[in-house]
Amino acid sequence: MTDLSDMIETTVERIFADHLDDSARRKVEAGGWHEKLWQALDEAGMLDALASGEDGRFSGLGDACTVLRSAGGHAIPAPVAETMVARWIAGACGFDLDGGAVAVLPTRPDTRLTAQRKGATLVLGGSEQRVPWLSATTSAVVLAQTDKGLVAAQVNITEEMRKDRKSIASEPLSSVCLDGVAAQQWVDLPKGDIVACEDAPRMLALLRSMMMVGAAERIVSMSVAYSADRQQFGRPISKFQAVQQNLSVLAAETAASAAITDAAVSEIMRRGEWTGLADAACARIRLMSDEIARITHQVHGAIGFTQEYALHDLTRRLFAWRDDYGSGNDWAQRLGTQALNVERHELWPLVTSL
Amino acid sequence: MSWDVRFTPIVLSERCETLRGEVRDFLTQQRKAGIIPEVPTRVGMDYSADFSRSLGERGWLGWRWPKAYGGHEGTALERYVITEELLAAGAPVRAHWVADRQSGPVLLTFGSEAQKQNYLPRVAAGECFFCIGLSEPDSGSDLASLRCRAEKIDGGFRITGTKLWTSNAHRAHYMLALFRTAPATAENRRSGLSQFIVDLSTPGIEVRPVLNLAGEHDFNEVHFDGVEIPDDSLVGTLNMGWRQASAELAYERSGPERWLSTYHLLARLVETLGPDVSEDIRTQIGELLVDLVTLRQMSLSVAGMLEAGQEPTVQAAVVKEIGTRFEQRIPRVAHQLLSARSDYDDQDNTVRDLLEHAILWSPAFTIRGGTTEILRGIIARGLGLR
Repeated sequence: MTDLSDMIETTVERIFADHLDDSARRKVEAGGWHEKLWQALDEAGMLDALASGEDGRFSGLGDACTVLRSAGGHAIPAPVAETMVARWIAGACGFDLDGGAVAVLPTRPDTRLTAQRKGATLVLGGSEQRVPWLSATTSAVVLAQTDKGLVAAQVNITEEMRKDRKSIASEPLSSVCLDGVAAQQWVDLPKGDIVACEDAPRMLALLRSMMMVGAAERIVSMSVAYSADRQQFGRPISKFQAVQQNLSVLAAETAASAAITDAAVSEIMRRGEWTGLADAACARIRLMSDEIARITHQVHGAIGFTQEYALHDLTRRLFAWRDDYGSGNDWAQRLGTQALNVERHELWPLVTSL
Repeated sequence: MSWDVRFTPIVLSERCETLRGEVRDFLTQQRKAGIIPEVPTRVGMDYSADFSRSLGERGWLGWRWPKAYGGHEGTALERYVITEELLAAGAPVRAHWVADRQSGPVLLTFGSEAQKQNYLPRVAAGECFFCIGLSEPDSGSDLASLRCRAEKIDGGFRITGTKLWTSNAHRAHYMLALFRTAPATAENRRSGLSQFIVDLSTPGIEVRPVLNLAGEHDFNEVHFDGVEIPDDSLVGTLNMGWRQASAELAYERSGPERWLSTYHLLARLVETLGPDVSEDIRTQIGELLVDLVTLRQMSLSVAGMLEAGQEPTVQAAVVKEIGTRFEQRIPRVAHQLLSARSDYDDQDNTVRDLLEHAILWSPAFTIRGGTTEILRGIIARGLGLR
């Protein structure tokens, strides 16, 4: 960890400590918006972490991940990752965005949104499922395909375009239809420049993975602390081997998921491009979230199954976030397809090149 | 309490990648020459003294050791690259593996000058092979309960007792063994143990095979019937063997051999299935790749920590705990995907042969080199639970 990332971590931890408590989360889950938290994050520059990197399009990724690991550990009820990516694309494209939350479309690497020039306007088409936090925004940054190549656009989001529901973590989720919607701002994307169409959903998926890692690491700490605290049969339950073995698996799987996510972030920043390590990272924490939640709830017993104890803020988010920006299966499948297409003796060179 | 067992990401140097290319070229030649099988039908490491010698000639053994003892003064990450390439290629590395991985480093740390000069250059040349003398009939995971004893006699020690589950004892030249040299004390069960090098050609040593589940001769039972060994067989300090052996175990736990044991089955499975399979199968294969890639990054990170002089005991335990369960998962998935195919029972189905061998070896992965239960205990200690 660098001094700068230590400083960022201290700053966001303070902001979360100042602004986030149980009642604040409940209000957002009931459909509210936590403007003070948002303002504090924006004023501290945290929402611009991804966009502020100066050398290369991925140079802000490390700082963004420091913010989001901490955000995940606090079960933060706000679209921080989404707005970071929106500002990252907007910065490269010269779009003006207001200070509010902004969504990013598409949300999956295999979705294709379309765009057509009609005179001086750009008209979008296509739809997307499972867009987190869309109902909390009035604006989205969209990557779309025209007959001449890629465009980035900013569109205003209205209620008629959305169908809203809530995720398992009571976070807003919408499907959206862009058919016939005119872009407010748009630019052609030069080939090889900031974004390929996949860059937005991939970046969202990786940032969500880091939030899940942060949540899982917090779950490990909470579980260890609770097991040392809770007495049964005259001693802390942490002294029972059965409990220790469960906690060890929880910690090991969390550490492994963190390891591949950290490695992916480091490798993307080094290479300046996406790597297969990030596919693995996005898959692993999503696939392990079930086991992580299972063990922590087992260790916590009845109290962990209540609204009043803060564990559910984290486990419900693991259950929700694992489906955001591609499922664990989707991400694993990308690696599986690559592996199944190599010639004899070429699998290992593929593994070492990821 | 904060959880701070992190795996720092590692970037391999140009030097590492050049070395990888050299090792890979050599292994391709060896495959074309028929020394490494084109189509493997067995998991695990095969034994070839000739192959080990040829690695020694190329300078790929004793990689990190001082040149004065025949080593090459390379880095832990370079050694990591050499070992993962050898294992991924299915090279017959069994003969020198233990000596290069752990016996040599133990001698380098705790051995006398004479011991270093006597053994290390021969190990680095791929001419001198070791086995590990730890387990006994009544001592598996509980090493402190060892009973096989070394009594002080004039000019040396007399060994009496039995070592069990000693892989490769019938082919190795030496055993690096832990013997009881004094009774354990009430305060410290781990006291009174000492490490020795035993020349396995010494009269009075009887090596009996114990065939394993796969019908193979790998394990042995080694009897010492009052075997006399000289004073200079003692490694390090008398009665301080526990600490030395613990250091030895750390070398055993984080390397690529803890997650690559059934890699060839995965490679053959992928080749057999080919690209025209269902999404479901692509996902299943993808899940295996996810863990393979994850374990590789963790193992690299541990090599980086060793290079930096740290002692990543807990991280090494995490690698082996997850890695060996992964090794068992490959045959499970392979069986599920292959056994329903119409050619499964064909006489010449070599993938099935490999799968069956992997199934028979699987139980060993989560036992040898520290059971999963012991590893979880180490992780629990790292969490502050014990």
